[in-house]
Amino acid sequence: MFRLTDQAIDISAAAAALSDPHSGGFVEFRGCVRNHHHGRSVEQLHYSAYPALAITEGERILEEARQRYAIDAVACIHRTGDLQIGDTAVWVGVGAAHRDAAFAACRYVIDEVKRRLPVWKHERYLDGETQWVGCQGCADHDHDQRYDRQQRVPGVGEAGQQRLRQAHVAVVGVGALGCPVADLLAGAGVGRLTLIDPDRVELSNLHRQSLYAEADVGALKVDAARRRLLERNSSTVIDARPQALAAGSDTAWLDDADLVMDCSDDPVSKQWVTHRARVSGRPCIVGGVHQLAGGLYVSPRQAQDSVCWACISAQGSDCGDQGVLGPTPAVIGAAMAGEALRRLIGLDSALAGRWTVLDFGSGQFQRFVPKQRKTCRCLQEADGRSDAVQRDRLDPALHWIDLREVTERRLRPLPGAQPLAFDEAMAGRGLEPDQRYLLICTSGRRSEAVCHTLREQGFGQVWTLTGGVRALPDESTPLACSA
Amino acid sequence: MIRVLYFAALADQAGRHEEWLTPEPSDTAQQLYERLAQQRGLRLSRRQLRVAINEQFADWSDVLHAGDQVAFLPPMSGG
Repeated sequence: MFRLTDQAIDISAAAAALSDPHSGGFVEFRGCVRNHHHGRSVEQLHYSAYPALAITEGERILEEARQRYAIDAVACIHRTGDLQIGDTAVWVGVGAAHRDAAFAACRYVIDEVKRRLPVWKHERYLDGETQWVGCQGCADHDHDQRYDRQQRVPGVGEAGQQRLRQAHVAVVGVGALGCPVADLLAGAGVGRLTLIDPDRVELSNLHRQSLYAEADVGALKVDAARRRLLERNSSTVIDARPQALAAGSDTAWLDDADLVMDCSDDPVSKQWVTHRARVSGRPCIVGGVHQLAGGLYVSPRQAQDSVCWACISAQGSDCGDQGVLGPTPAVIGAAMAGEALRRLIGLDSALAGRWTVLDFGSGQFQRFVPKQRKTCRCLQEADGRSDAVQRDRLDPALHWIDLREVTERRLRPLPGAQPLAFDEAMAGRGLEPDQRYLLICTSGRRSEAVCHTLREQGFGQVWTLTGGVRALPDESTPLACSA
Repeated sequence: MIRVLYFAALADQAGRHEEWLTPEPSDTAQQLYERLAQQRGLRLSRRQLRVAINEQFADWSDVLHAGDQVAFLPPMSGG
């Protein structure tokens, strides 16, 4: 249960509501108003909120805690309005069979509340001044100072820094490769990171996974990594997804990412991620390590010329089983992060389209261009862009339906496609259940929603263009279609 | 018409907590914010904010429609 209140929080009543004979551990956190902030004496403060969004987001945080930790009950209450020194501003309570889960879930909830809840603290100081807390770090001058050395690199500058700030990078696997990758990208000012990893931190990880400390053993890697990354750069927006990836896994996060970093040591996950990146036209950087050697693949500028993991490497690598010295993935991960920054900023790369192997045992450094195998399942699998384009060539009876607004259509015309307003399409107006339709929008989200709805309404032959027109081969050339 | 909500430091800068206005056709949340930032002298840059449409977190590229409620959210500081 999550609640906002403008009255004093009744802690004993809130705690009593969570009592459960199954719970052997009960952890509470109480956040209070303190009398100082960054060396200034605080007199009082005021919390304002966006209540409708705060309540749904608060409930979402509690639901995430229930899913991530073996707990019996969790609740959180946050104050709004005027508070005095010593007043309780926020309370979190967790009951669980065992204390580890209770501590971890309580920590998770308070960290997420501080980061995500649309609540704002306004402090009044003894000297009469007031300030919105949390906004001082956003000053442009702090921003310039932080990235000054990086912006001096030729080709970066303020424009390059701005591109990094607006970028969203998905990091699959936060282990030996993902740690340096995420650390360097957050440090460089990449605006948004999505971390995906189902594993928990083990003692045997610490020799090579630099984001984790001994106290993190047992925690989800994505949670521990996010905590550490936010300490490094508090302006980074980080989504943590404790999710294992295999063929068929949901990859909606990928469609929103500007770049995918495949840092996993699981060949099944690597194959699915590189395959999805390829068919949806997302740039992808892939790393792998094996004992004293490691390699990285950087997809070419034309994403459709990219190859999947099975084509890069006949056999996957798994450092968990085969043994690895920590510096090898650290070097490969750092090289991957460097390539990522170059790609996001728009600088050329000598590694694009190549599998580059660094063997510290033999001292050799080799590059080659992997070719797509004739048997590659990317070619056969009916999915996304390749599917749509091929189907169009084969099937002149496929009608292209353009769900975009008029200004979007003007930017990238699709001659022959029939424009249809999103609301009309959702209602099935102007469409016949026995016809064949390919639904198209800019990013693939609206078309996916319409496709889903129409199928529920009995349209049997309707498809969505995954990734939308952005995923189509050459954005400078208007496409012709056969309808 | 759409309803625009400002919070915290942004409300101070805009001199108001909300306003009603008519968006341009196919206006995205980003285009609206950048226009309002100029008109109202908002000093927070878009990269520091999150946007919510109809009480849900949204993307800056989302297109606005009549009847929408758009909220611009400065860095949060609860807890």
